[in-house]
Amino acid sequence: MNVPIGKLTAIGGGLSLLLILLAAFSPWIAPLDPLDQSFLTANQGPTAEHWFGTDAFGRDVLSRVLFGGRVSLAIGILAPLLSALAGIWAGMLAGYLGGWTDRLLSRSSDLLMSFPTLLLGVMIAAALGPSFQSAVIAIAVALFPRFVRLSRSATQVVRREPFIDASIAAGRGTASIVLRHVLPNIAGPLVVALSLWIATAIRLEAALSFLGLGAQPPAPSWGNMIRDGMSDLVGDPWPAAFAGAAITISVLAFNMVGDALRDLLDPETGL
Amino acid sequence: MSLLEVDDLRVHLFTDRGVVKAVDGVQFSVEAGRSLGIVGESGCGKTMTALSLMRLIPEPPARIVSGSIRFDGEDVVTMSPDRLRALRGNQIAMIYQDPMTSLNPVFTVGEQIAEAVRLHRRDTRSAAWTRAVEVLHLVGIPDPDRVARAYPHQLSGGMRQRAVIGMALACEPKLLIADEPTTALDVTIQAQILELLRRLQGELGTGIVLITHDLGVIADLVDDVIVMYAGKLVERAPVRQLFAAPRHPYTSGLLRSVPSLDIRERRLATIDGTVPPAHAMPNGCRFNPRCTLARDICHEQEPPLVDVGNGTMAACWAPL
Amino acid sequence: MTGYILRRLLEVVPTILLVLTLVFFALRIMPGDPAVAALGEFAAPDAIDRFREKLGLNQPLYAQYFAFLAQALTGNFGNSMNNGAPIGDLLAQALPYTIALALAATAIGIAIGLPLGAMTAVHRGGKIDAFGRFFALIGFSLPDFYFGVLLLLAFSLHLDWFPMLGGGKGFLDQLHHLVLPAITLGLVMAAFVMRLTRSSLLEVLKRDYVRTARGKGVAEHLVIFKHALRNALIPVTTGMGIYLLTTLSGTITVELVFSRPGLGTLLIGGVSARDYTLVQAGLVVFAFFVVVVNLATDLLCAAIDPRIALR
Repeated sequence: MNVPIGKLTAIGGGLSLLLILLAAFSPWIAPLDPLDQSFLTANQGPTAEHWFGTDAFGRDVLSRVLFGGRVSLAIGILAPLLSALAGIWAGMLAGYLGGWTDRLLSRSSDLLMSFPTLLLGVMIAAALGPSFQSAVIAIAVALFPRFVRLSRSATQVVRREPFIDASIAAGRGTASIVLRHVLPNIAGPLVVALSLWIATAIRLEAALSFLGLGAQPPAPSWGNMIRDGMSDLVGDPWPAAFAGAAITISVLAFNMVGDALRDLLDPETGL
Repeated sequence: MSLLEVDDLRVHLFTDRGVVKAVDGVQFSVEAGRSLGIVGESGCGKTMTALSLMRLIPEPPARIVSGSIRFDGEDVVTMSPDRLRALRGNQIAMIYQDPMTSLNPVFTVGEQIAEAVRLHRRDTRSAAWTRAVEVLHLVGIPDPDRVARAYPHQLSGGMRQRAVIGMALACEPKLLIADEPTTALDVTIQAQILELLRRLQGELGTGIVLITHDLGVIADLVDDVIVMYAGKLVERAPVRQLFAAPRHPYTSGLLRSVPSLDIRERRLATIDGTVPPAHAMPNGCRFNPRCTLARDICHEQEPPLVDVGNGTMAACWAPL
Repeated sequence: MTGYILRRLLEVVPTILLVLTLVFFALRIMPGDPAVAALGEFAAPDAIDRFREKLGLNQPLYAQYFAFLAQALTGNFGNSMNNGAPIGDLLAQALPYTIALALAATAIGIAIGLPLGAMTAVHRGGKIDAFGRFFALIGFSLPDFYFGVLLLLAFSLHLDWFPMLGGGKGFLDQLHHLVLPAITLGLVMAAFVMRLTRSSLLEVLKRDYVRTARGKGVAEHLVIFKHALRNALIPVTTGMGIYLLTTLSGTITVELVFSRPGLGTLLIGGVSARDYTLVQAGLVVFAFFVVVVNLATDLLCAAIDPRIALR
């Protein structure tokens, strides 16, 4: 690899942070109200007034991309975090306790794993009906088995370490051992997975809201901006183009962080 | 002209942490029908030396930086890839150390041996297969037909090792390089294999380079021995001479560390200390930190390999 | 081998049952009354009752469950709640489009990804490798449907090389309609296959048996393509099997981009129309694909790797 890993981490990390900040502070940064319609200025390309142009309702695309980031990144980060919270615990318990707990958890997560995340997400969002919440639940459930499996196998490795037996002998309870000894030892791969799966979740959220299964209009999200933009791609490709670019850059940024962190932890297997 | 003449061979490993001189100026020769043993502790460069003879060292990180390896007068180091391929497996063949990983898991043993045959002899598929079964029989496999059709994972370690040996013998090479060929085998089979190698040597005039840490096997089979320590050749002698009167203190330590009863487990326990790490080699003689006879000069200057009489060469300032 | 196939086939039965059960109960938690959804807020109460009766929604849950299982296993899903068309017919019309797209994309993904992955592994650290790295990064970051939008913009709207919408009529026209959607999903898959092939082949090239092959005098290209690649393909096959499903789910969004008929269009149409029976059937079909593809992947791996069938 030519570019040093630290540099890639810094670029990816800086970019991710910038995107999060832009989304978080969009009400103060965005030049205009993302919902403000004006038929006089509809379907314009980029101008001095509207840097990213306007959409079919004359709404400012730059403001919509910034506000859309709130929804897209919120779901993209919240869902994997929720999933990690539940999945890591389940996986650690399965890996630590073994036996029936393990068999039940790993069989069911294997079954869920056999479904691609998008399909699972579509199924759940379709079942729950389209909304912000169902997108979060759908993505969290889709990623859940992946966290279970990862933390389970990492825990199984740590479980064999002598210091675990020593803790048991010292009379420590299961919860305390898992929290104090197992979790810190498996944190590395989990952090890598988390950042890679945030990238996946952003992509998933975009796909779901593109399909109309995510956050509902008029509130902008990157996916539904592309969906809206599809209706007049010839006349005004700008909303779809900029929203898509925002998705791509965000996914790229989190992927870079994940890849770089993985190389840092395990220089052998990295690309 | 010798069958194999190695002169001033240097193989360096270019790693992130610096250059490791895995083989550092080794020289020896092997006549047709004779055998040479290379002994030394693990990590002394003996496997790297063996792999260099066929240019099978992992490049990168390893590279032959200087020296020559003349096989039948041709230099293997500068040889064209095509010429090298024609030699490999045909005139020079190798028995690899680890039978568990040296065979390809997705091809049957027979396929893998027949491939070597077909590459070098213009045999038909069935003739090559027949030859494969034949060599499996030759290396003492009781039901060679079944074993030829088996995948490596279906065979025991001993069976696999014999298959690896069979593969090396398939084209009746002029030079056979054997890297710990009998480590995975039990004593009876080990004796059979050594007998087989001896017969090859006698009947076909095969030259053998035998790499091992097992001095019993050395005493059994080879004519001459070289002893390596930390990439350096420290002593070269006819086998009887070496066992009777070792001249380098390291050789002497090696011989003393052979337990008399247990043939399989030979540990070099009586030499104090360990081989220094590759990037922290001492000045002067590399053995000096572990040598009880070290003098001032041993810490300052590397001893050259010189004739010390009775057909023995040793690299030591104070040969025994 | 036969034993392994049988064993693997038997394992499918509980999986299918479990998946069907999940789909059934997932849809029961869908908010809102499907009858009201279908007939509208102001439908007459007796019309709603008749509708519920027709669909069996007034039956106890277990009866509905068994009726659903029977439907799913026989492939007879009844009629669409919205327009009354037999769902079997709708699926039969949609399926060929989706399967054609998924297979064409997979073919493109393998045809580009495998050789590119092998080349990047063999020329590790070279220019090809750098290109591969870049290609993978883009492939992993560009959402497939956005890539589709870009292709649509460039090649249909501006250059007018490919038709914009629909599935096409007649073989050649259908093929013409297939190109852009297939490239969309295929290139994204190629990035994945490339990376997988590269890392797997690099791993295999370090193995002792590769050295054994060289030591026999095997030519370098055969060392790589016969001895190493065959071993490297074992994890790649598993990965591609899993990815085939990702591609299959990708057809949902890509069908929408290209307004292409297919299972995804049908399913998403069903969701927005709250056509409960149609969504249920669509999910069952997708789930069925998942099970079948996983099975096929396992069997293919067993054919490549003699060690698997013996376990």
